Amino acid sequence: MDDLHLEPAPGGSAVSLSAEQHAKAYSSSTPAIDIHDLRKEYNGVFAVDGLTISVPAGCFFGFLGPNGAGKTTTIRMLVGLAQPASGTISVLGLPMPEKAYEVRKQIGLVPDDSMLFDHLTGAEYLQFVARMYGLTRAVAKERAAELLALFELDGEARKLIGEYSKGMRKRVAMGAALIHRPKLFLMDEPFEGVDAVGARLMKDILLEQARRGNTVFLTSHVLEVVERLCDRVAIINRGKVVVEGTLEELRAQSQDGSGSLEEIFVRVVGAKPIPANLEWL
Amino acid sequence: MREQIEAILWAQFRTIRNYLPRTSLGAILLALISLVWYGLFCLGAVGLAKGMQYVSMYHLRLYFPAGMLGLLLFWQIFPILTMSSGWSLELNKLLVYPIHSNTLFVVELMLRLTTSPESVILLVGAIWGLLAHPGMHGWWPLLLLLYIPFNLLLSLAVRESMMSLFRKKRLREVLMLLIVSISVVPSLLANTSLGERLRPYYLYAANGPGTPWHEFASLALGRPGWLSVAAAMFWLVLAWWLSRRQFAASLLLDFGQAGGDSSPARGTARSTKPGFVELLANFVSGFLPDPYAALVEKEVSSLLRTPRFRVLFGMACFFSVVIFFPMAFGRHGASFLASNYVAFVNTYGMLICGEVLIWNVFGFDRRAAQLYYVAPAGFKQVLLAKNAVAAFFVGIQTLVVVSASLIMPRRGDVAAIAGGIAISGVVFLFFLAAGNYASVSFPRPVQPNQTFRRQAGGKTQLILFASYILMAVPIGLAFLARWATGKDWVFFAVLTFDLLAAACFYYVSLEPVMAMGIRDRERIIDALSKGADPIGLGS
Repeated sequence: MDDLHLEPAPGGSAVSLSAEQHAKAYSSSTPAIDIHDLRKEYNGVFAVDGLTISVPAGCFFGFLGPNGAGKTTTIRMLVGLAQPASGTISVLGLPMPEKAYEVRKQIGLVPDDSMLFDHLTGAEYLQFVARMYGLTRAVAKERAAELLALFELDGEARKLIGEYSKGMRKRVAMGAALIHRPKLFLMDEPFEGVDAVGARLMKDILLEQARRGNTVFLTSHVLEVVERLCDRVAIINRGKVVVEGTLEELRAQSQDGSGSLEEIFVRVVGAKPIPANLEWL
Repeated sequence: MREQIEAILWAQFRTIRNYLPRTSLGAILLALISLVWYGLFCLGAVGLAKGMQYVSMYHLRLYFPAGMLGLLLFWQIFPILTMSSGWSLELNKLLVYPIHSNTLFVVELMLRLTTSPESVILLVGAIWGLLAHPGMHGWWPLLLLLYIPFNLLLSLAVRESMMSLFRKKRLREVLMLLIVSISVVPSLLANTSLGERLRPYYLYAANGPGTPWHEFASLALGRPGWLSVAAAMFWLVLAWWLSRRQFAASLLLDFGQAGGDSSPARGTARSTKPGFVELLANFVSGFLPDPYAALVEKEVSSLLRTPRFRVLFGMACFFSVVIFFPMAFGRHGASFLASNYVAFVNTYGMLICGEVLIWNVFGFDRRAAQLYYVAPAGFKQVLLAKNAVAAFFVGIQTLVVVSASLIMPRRGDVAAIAGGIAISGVVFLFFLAAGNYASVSFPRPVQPNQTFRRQAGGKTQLILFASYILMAVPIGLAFLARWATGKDWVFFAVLTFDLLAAACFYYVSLEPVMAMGIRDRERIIDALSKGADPIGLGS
């Protein structure tokens, strides 16, 4: 796990736990997410079709797949926003959706863009989220201010979230996911639109969370980021897991035992060549 | 629970505070309209309270349950007829947090107060009237306050049931027809002999023992029997159970697909043969060159595929025809309305569809708005294409209205229909000119999947009001000319002139609107990018 070590970004959080501690933390626990034979149907088509994955506690887990593979639907089922057609979900040892309330208390979610409240300022939104998780007003206000400063959103206090850029929206969503110190982070494209400095900060924070024994479940189309951060990776296609394991395990499946995550991804998902009749392209 | 309720309400308060200063003129206008509207109901409540003191106890016992029944019908049906869902929680945004369903239920129940505050005002007036009545003793009228939670619970159950039905494809359209049928009932009762004939049955139903309105009225009028107390409690519990059941069902919704998503899910098998929508879109665009053809084709296809537009257009074509029928041709039918039936119905239809077709043309496909500025087709072509599509749909609506008017009992002659069409043309052109200005000045994002409407913004309403005045002058002149000369040809001559004037007004207004649209593109895109808040502000 030594290859996961990153130098702390200027002004960012330092990585304090050793890789051994990290490995011990997540190998000794029950799975943070345990999904078995999960199915979800929309209009007669399975968006998720017999998905089975197990994410160890403390793991930095990359959940990859092409567009429409069922990643967001899976996250929606993990937080109880969508009901599975069949199969079982266990989050932090609790069955979902039966124990949705208890599970949600321990989850930090960076959702897709539509979940933010556009007519609140960043501070107001963070305070609102903190209070939803039962933090007192004083603590909510204090942590909101600290997170805004950390993500460099404190410069324009009166700016509404609706006026934020895409990267700023992701940063405030990240702040909201952190504010109640959750045990499990569900991150749906958290780095989308975030500048290099912000992305670096977010990565450092997530790595630190994983080293503390918290679990990060990440979807991203930026495979280099996943390759750099994640302990384990699952690639899904058409609602099914097509390959899962550590990067070393995935590489071992390739013919020469090497190759980048992008090459593995393209191979298992299947790249479409440009048809010959599109020569004008 | 209390902390979370406070936090949700606090966030909504901040939302309103953040939002209102940005639309100060609209906010002031809306506040004034609300003040007048609710002021009238407050006056009505005071009148009710004062008037009730002069009614004998005998008559109170006879008619008070009827009043309670009327109030219940108004409370429960009026929001459905006006398609206004009031404020409600944005559950898809709140369900990711650890909030107990009880908390959400309590907040949602409180928000039901926003659907019909008029009913609460009138009920308070009635309680006051009973308390001050010389024949009443004790505080029994205060028990009528229980009618508020009963109606709130019932209203929540009705709303959740309606929303659930509206999410079902096909059933949505059937439901709309049902609503149209119900909505014509008050007009039918007022304008035909049906009202008189049904009155004894209404009173009989109102005084039916065991009914909630009768039992709550009995409680309020004093000295109720144990049966009345038990029946009132039973209705309260039943309403609570129904609302909890419906609300629990809505919590189990898949929010990824909720709201009647019209877009097919990944991999949904779709026929390769062109359907009705594609054929219609191709037909309309066939008369135009590109890029207009492409824009019109896209616009017609996307509008017809969105539930909200289908419901609105269905209402414009059929609801408007039905709602004016008893008023025009009933027992007290107005001859002016009957002879100008096409014009009235068509104008009303345009008002229904206007939000989408005319005065907020970018709100519906807001995600495409950025493309309009970067595509080589240009903003001018986009606006003209959208106007052409509006003309197409208003044309179809006119065809339906004219066809309906031809089968009416006292149908107008060709001249009356031609006059109606000409007036509709004048109204449409004025609306279009005002609508283009409103669309670029005050664009607002609209959810295409949301069947229940949200009201037009305050500034847009101000522009609409101004355009009413503007168009009333030339149309009024045509009627004045006919009245003064007694000749139809003069009426048509003035109307022809009006049409030309309206066309010129539309043409002249295009340039500044387009210039504003291009100049203010940043503001327009920004406004159209806005999303929702913890509580959805309905109308």
